[in-house]
Amino acid sequence: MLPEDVVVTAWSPCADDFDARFRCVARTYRYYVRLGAECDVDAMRAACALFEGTHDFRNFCKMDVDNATHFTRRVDACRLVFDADATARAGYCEIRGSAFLWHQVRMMMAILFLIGARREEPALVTRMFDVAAMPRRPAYEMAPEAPLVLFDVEFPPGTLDWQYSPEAARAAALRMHQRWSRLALGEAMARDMAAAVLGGEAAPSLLPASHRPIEQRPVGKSYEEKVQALKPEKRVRHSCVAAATHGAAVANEDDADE
Amino acid sequence: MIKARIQALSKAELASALVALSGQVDGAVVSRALDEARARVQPSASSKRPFDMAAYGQRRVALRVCYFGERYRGFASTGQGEDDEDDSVESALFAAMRKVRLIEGKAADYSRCGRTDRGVSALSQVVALSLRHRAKLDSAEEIDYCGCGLAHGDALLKADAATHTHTHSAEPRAARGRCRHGVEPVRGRL
Repeated sequence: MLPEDVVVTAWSPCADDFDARFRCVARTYRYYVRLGAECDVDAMRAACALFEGTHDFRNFCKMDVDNATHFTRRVDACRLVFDADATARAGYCEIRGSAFLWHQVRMMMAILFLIGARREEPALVTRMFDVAAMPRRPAYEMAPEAPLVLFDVEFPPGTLDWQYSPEAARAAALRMHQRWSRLALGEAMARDMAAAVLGGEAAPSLLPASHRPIEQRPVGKSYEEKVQALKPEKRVRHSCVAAATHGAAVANEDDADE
Repeated sequence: MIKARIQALSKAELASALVALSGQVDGAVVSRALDEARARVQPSASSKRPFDMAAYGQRRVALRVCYFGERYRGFASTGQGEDDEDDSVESALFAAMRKVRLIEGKAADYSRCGRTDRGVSALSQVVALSLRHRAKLDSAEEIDYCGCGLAHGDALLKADAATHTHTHSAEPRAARGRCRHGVEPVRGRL
């Protein structure tokens, strides 16, 4: 019925006015990573800590002034997780927040990877939050989409009452397991092929060969410039926020979370 | 008058009335009537009778959806309409729901928790919409909405759907925690 890569894992009765977008109080993303030996994990962890809190993320998103009127978002937690003794340091960066801007997680990860590669320092994150000093986002490429997973979404207690079906779960688990086996085989094959081709040579660095500092790159349009370019009827809803950001009151207006 | 009353009965009510009747009249008469009815009705009625969605009632439901985004253009469909062949996860979801008649045409009162971009996956996306309420016309049996889309998805329309339904225990649980991933039995393996 459904394709093998889509599973309905639980259902719940809900109130007639329940809205999955506006009732959601927290979203958690996981961005899966494999960090080479040359990666500065401590610097990445320091940068993760700087992402936590309520900040203006306009320099960490694709600014969509048609839908978003402010860019202040709360990040409850941002942490790098992987097995301490794993050689490849495979794990994920977990980010929990109230709502996310368009491409926010992938933009955050792009900066995090540059910091891990020692091309930028953790303090860059703080400077990018300072929108008075940096009103226009420097051009940089966001991290690839494939490792990103919307891992969990939360609703106020009592809103939903999840029902599970052991039968359905077994069938889904079987399909998931088949996929895992298939991908694990590919991983093992690629690893051995890489080792055979390298033949004792040190593994090549996966870090970018050249790097232009983020703060010296060409910049896009500022929020104010983008609003000015809007048609007058679309500009109306922005007038109230042109002077200042909304501070801690993070409305759930935009959850184009990617 | 009596014909209209009979036609208004559910299958269970009809069966009950017939059993009661068979105790009062000649068994052979009832048996012959049943054979004739079966011969008359069987060839056409069951296959051509249109599915009357309204008779099953509607119910608002939230679904937790897990997907690998690799081959999709994103979670959100562009259409929102019946014609949503756009390689989005939503389109696949709606198509499966139409097939097992959880919805007809466009999904009603639909909302999604978050969009995810082309190629992005989710372990726990949540959507809300109105779905068919009753599994069958003549019973109050619950539909297992988790079953939708699995190999036994047809079971929704069959009598044995009840054996797939599981209401979780009434024991209190933390607001977060146990049910977090919606796939408790397999959590350790994900």
